[in-house]
Amino acid sequence: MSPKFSPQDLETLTALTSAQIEGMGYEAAMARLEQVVDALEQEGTPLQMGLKLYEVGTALSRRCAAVLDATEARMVQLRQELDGRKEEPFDPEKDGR
Amino acid sequence: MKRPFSAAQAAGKILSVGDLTAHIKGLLEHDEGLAGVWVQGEVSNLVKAASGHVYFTLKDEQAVIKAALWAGVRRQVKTELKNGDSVAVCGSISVYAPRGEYQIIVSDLRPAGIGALYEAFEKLKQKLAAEGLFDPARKLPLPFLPKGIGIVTSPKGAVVQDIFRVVRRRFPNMPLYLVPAKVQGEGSVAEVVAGIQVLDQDPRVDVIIVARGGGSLEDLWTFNEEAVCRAIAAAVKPVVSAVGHETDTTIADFVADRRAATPSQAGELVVPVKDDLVRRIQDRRARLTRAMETALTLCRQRLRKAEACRFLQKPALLIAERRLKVANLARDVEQLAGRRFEARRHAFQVLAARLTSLNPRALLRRGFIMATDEAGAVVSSVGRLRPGQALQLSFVDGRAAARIEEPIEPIEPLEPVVSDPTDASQEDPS
Repeated sequence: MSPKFSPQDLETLTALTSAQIEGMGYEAAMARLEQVVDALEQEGTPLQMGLKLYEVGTALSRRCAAVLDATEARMVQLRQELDGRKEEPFDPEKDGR
Repeated sequence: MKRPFSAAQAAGKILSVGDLTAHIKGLLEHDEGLAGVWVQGEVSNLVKAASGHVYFTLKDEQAVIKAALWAGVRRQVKTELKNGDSVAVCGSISVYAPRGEYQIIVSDLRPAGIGALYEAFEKLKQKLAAEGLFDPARKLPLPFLPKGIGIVTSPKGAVVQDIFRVVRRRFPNMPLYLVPAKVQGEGSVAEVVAGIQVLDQDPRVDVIIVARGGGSLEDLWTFNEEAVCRAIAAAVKPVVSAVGHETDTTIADFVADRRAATPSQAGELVVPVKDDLVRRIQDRRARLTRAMETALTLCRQRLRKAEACRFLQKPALLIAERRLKVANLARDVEQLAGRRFEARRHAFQVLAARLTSLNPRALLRRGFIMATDEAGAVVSSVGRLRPGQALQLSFVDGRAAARIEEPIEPIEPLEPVVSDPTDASQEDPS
């Protein structure tokens, strides 16, 4: 079986700055992370590349978790806002004319 | 006029009651002047039969006539009769032979004295219809949920209470804005028109109800006035008419964007049931939250699965695996090299042994003697020997001269010479 990731692929896969990772949404970061994991588990990946993959992989994993945590926090906040709404009473005798 | 009985009897001209009545019936029912005649009088002896037919007597100072209003016609004419009403009826005369009675079978009727109003009604209706004011395409849809409801009606009476009650029940905090207006008589048209216009301009109001309780045609006349109808048509906000009972129709109903049969129904038309909406919102909200939570859970699972990669969990494995590989390779190298060395040493030993076995000194040491001729060549056969020939004999520790004596006797070889077994098999494999 020929390797799934060529050396060029691996270079491209790990060519990510931390600023780029911080700018990624969940889907993009997750898809990249899954590729990194595949590459990491691939037989014959050079050691130096393995280390680079590990570095990028942990950064992507942290990014994913951060996005999910932020999303969940925002959801909880929105739900609390929604549940906290109260109706205003209306008195047709007073408010009508 | 008097005819003698005997003459009538002789001529066979004495009629039965039936014959006479049949004759009368023919006269009355086929008279052109009586067919479809209009007659006006006061209603009395009104009987409403369970079948839906209505029987009454129409009277004036001089006479009475029995009248019958069949259920089918009664449904069409819409006017409910009561004793004492002054009405004009249209119909034909019918004779009921078993009772010897005649009656007018009503095909149409009008409350007397308001024929003029009917005419005005029809005239305005046709005029506004011709202008397209009843056109369904002109009708504005009612808002799904108005921010406020404007009502033009009398502040007194059941109508406003009915609307308040229904709206409050359906949507407790729905703002209601009442513009009190006379809905009948002098000044009512101006007040209703002003009410519609005020509410139409009020930004708090999204829909307007124009309402009035039931009444006679005269009572409801304000809502057949052109000014009121035009005010309704001109309103930019949807207007619901709720005038009179379900059977009453006014021109305002035709112009309005929606007609309610009753004030209560108007309340139902303009506002949804809040509890239903709240339930729907709560249901959607619960689904929203569930969907969001599920999505988050799936995302977290996906992340966990990726993070479970053993190299991410223990990056040392990246090195450890390679270290193991290096160690294995080193061992392999060692083993391979060792084997190779052993093989060579063995080959060397074999060769050394062979070398030893081939050393002629070893043979001399064991007692063999090597003979050489005068030329120094080794003599290994008796074939070339001659008697008296001088040979040189080499011993392990020295040499001596010798001379050949007779006899010289070659011997027949008894068996083939067997070669040394170390000769061929112990060659170096490489």
